[in-house]
Amino acid sequence: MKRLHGFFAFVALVAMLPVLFPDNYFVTVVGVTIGFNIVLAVALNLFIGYAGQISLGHAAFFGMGAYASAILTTRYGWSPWLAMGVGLLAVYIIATLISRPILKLKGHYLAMATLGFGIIVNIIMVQTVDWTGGPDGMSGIPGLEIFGWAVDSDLRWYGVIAVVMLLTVLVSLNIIDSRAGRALRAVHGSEIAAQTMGVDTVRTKSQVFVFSACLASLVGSLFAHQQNFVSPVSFDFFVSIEIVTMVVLGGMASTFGAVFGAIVLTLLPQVLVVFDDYEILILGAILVSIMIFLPQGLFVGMTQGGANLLRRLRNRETPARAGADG
Amino acid sequence: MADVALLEVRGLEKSFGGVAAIADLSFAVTEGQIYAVIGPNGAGKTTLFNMLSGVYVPTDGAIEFDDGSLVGLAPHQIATRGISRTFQNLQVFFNMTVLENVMVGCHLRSSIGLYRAALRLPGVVHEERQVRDWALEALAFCGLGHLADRSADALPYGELKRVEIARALAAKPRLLLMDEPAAGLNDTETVELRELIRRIGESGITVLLVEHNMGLVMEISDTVLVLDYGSRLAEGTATEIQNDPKVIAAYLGGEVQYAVQ
Ligand SMILES: Nc1ncnc2c1ncn2[C@@H]1O[C@H](COP(=O)(O)OP(=O)(O)OP(=O)(O)O)[C@@H](O)[C@H]1O
Ligand SMILES: [Mg+2]
Repeated sequence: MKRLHGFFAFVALVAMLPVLFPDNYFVTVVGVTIGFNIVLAVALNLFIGYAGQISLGHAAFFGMGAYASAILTTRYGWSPWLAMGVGLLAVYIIATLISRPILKLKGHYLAMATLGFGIIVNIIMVQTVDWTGGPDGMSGIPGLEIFGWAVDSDLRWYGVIAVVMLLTVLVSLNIIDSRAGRALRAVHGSEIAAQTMGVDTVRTKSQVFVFSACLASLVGSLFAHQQNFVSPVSFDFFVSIEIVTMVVLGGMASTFGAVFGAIVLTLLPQVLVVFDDYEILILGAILVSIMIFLPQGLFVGMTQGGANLLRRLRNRETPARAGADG
Repeated sequence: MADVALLEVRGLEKSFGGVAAIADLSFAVTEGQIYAVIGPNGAGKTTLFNMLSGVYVPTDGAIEFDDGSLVGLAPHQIATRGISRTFQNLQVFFNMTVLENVMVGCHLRSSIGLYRAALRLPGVVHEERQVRDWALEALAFCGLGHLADRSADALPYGELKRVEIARALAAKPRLLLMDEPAAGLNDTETVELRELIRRIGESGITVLLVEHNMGLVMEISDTVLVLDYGSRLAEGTATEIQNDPKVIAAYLGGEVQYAVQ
């Protein structure tokens, strides 16, 4: 299956890393964070990159999943899996309810509405202290157990998140290369043409918004169990922006672009800590330069640049050979 | 002719802020016809198409298609009735390949939704292959088979106009609305277009054609409707229209006469 060549290569890489570097902090600790971020970015990329919409409040759904798991397991003693399912259902319902009115909006207005939604949800997390623990967050969230197998080490978490992340990437690739994915891209390309071809554009946008929210909720639940702790800052406005940045940085409308963006944006701050006070300054400078020099995004820009270079090299070779023959 | 009206428009009106773009317009299109709508710039031709395809809601009047009313339906609902269209200003999906553009045209002939596609459940691969074949067929019909895998944004204008036709045909419509398909085409391309429209008509699809190229209109249309300021100026066969004093006056005798030669 040629369609999935890139995916299988990625699976191999993800599987190899912990074997080669089992005790490496960047693999088993940062790697798990990267995994969470890849899921969030790939899911949001369906909505932003492919369908051409914008959401500045996606961290809210990530947070809802996390808090559903945190509250239901610690305060009510529910099993993590049940809590995860209930959180997912709640997010499904909330995302569906808000999607209709919100997705009637376009451009800046859509950005404002999703931003407002994200901020409101975050304020609720901070204010409902009795439930959420307020700004201090909640600790003591139990770990996860899969059929009696306790996910109790960094390496095991790496494995679990890797599987979830790879499935998300696969699902995204499947969608894009299907009738539903073409409908998404058609909405981006020309909403009016999409409609006259029979695409219910309102429903299409709403469906992918909800789908993307559900994936964020799932990964939010996993995040809560992996960290054993949640607090509102993990789901605030800046996190929403960070997810959008990952999508844009890697290259919109490219699943592996989102993957790449998530990896780079998670790793960079880790690497840049050596610069101490200047970290955020240098990070900003790097991001700005990337967008100036590779406006289509890192991944898309580099793969296209690579392809162009190959073509140019080949073109240079052909006349030379012809000359030798003649 | 059997004279069964496939499309019937009665007392249609559309105003923008009190200014009527279409006023009290009535006409009927018989199944299997190539029916042309002509008229000077701003006569309301595109506005008419936008109402027929659900992009605009009429201010007043009735649109009957195959005995059902189209008034108040959304564009995607009208598409399910069997009406497809092309656009005066290109509305190609530039973020896709030519083939994918045309595959979107098959949207209503296929059914796999987001969740089934996500899991690539059984049936997905089969339907994909089917849709691909339909799209390739439509591309071949329009003489674009060799461009299937090209990115749409790498194609010249003339071919993009044909991609839109192929996309509309891929929906297997009963009625095809074409808004100035010859605009911007060179002479060779216009001749090819004429043959293409002929073949579309022969395949049993009713064609509603808005066009400024009088030569093309007069050669292929069964009936011509002349619009002026949103109302009917004249209706008849190509010959009747060319000899209609009102039409000649409206066009200052120029274009229509010229086309006779
Ligand atoms: N969305 C709109 N809002 C306001 N006025 C409009 C709108 N659409 C069309 N009009 C007006 O309606 C009139 C008819 O326009 P329309 O585009 O239908 O003309 P047309 O016959 O297609 O012209 P052309 O041959 O130039 O394509 C024009 O005066 C135009 O300005
Ligand atoms: Mg027009």
